Amino acid sequence: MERDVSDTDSAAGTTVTGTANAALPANGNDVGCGTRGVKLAAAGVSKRFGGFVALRDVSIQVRERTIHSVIGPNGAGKTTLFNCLTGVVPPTSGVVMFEGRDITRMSVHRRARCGMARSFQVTNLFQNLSVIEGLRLAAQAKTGLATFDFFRPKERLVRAMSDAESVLAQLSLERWRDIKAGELSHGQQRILEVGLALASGSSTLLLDEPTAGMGVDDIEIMKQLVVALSRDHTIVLIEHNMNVVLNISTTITVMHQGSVLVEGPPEVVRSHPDVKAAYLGREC
Amino acid sequence: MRRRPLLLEPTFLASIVVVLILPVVLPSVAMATEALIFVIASLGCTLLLGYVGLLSFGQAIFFGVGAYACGLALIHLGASAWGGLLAAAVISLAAGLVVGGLVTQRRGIYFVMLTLACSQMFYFIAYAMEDITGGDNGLLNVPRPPLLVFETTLLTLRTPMSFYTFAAIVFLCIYLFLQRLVSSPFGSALVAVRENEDRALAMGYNTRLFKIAAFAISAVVTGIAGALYALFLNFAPLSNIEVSMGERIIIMTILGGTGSLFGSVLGGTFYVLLGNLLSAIWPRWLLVLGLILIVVASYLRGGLLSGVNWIVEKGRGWGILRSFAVRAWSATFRIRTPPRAQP
Repeated sequence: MERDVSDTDSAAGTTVTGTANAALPANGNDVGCGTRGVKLAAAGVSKRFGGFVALRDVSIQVRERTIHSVIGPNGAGKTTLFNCLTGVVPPTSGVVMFEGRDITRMSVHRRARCGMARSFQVTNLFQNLSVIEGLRLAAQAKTGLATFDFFRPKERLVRAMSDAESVLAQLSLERWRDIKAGELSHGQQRILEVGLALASGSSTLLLDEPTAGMGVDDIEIMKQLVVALSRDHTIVLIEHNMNVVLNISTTITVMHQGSVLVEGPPEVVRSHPDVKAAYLGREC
Repeated sequence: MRRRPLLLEPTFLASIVVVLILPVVLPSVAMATEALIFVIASLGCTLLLGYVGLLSFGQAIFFGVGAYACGLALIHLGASAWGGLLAAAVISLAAGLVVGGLVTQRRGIYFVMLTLACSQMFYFIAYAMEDITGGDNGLLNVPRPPLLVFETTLLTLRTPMSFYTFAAIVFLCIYLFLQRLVSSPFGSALVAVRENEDRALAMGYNTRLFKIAAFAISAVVTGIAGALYALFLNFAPLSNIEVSMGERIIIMTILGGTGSLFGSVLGGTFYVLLGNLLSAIWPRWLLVLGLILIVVASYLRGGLLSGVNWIVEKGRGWGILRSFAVRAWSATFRIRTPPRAQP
């Protein structure tokens, strides 16, 4: 599943930030380099928790229909960046833009309805509900006012039901349609975790370590799923498995101690001396 | 997968059966009426506790407000029985929106504390506004006008049976409405909030809005129960709006079981029956209730409802009679357990 990155925009090359605050494009299309517009962008985002600086002036630009991975050692600020992007915590300073709109102060559920869906690092499913019901709930969230229908049976909301069924097929979980999510194997729960984000019909998926705790065989399934999704979705990926990251990413942002260390296509990041130093310690 | 019509849902049919046999098996029709009124109040609580997972100690607010609104509409505006219920519904809806908006700002234990605080406040407001609510004496002389439909008298409401019929109609309407609600898209979103609020939020549900809406609906249901109680007693005591009334409603709900709306029917009936029977022989009957609550909380977490389910599913020794009943039941309602594939 080696992903060919030569046809995508690798012109961005390597940028070592921390020196200058990248200017944010007013809309997604007037970006100097690359052929694809910026879907999701953070500009100069900082986050302090009391005296601790979790994020220091982080800027990233996620292009449409690419896999943009965020990697870094533990405590590098990946999850905090994720939380700022999805609205779980507001950044102390900086701007988050989605499809050219400033969403820095937008609430979590409104972002989700704009077309940003996330999955969680720690499996966060509806454990006591059936697989299909969880997916149906995710699909239903997007139907807006139809959700406030409290008179018809929920199955009559055909749009949500058919979306859920098609995602179920995409995840190859048809056999487990009616069992409780909590009874699935760990690997299947991780797949469903991504599926809940997918079923919401969002254009952008933010996946927080989808392969966390997965076995080798399951990782391959997840890898293929993410690659398949990237054909019509923009994907932001936090991932620890370097094999996965280097194989499937279009762009990789390496974070270290709350800042962006290096950003670029996999082959650049792989051989970058700062990355080796950050991952392996000072002696390298 | 075809659904059977909601009117034929087993628990709705069971509710009709309960409505029909209550006045026959209970010692008095008045006791049956009281049971139905508290079943309705408990239904409001089940919606919040069972479906949204919200433990509200503020249900007395809506019970009391509904009783006062109905009583005042009847006394001062000369409203009909329907008008009284409508007034109760509207005013409790308003109270539900205000209280719901306030308490849903916080989750967990702070939410519970906020409902408790609101309940206390509403009690003292009712106590202080003596000119309107009658304060400590309660709102006296609530009339009970006959029930009219297009100028013709449907029920006189003068005899206990006539009033019971009225309460039964209101109860069945509310039960049917709530049954549709919990299986609707809206109801499924409430369950999503209960099961995993953070995930629901991440999927795009404005979970707070859903909680406020559930609060408002629960308030209307509880308020209507309060209104019926005022009509039933011909007065609205201050105790309607006391925190202890909210506790009573919660205890009934938990005794019955929150897994289904039918739990309320069991819990409300059981509580009223137990209260009336035991208080006649022993004034300290609440001690027994406490013991029962301990047993249910420790060993029967699904409440009486799960006890009934257990008997139906696991009960042995009924032999042919039982298997025949189960078969007839399954054949009638075509209950099929879906084949469970192992992961």
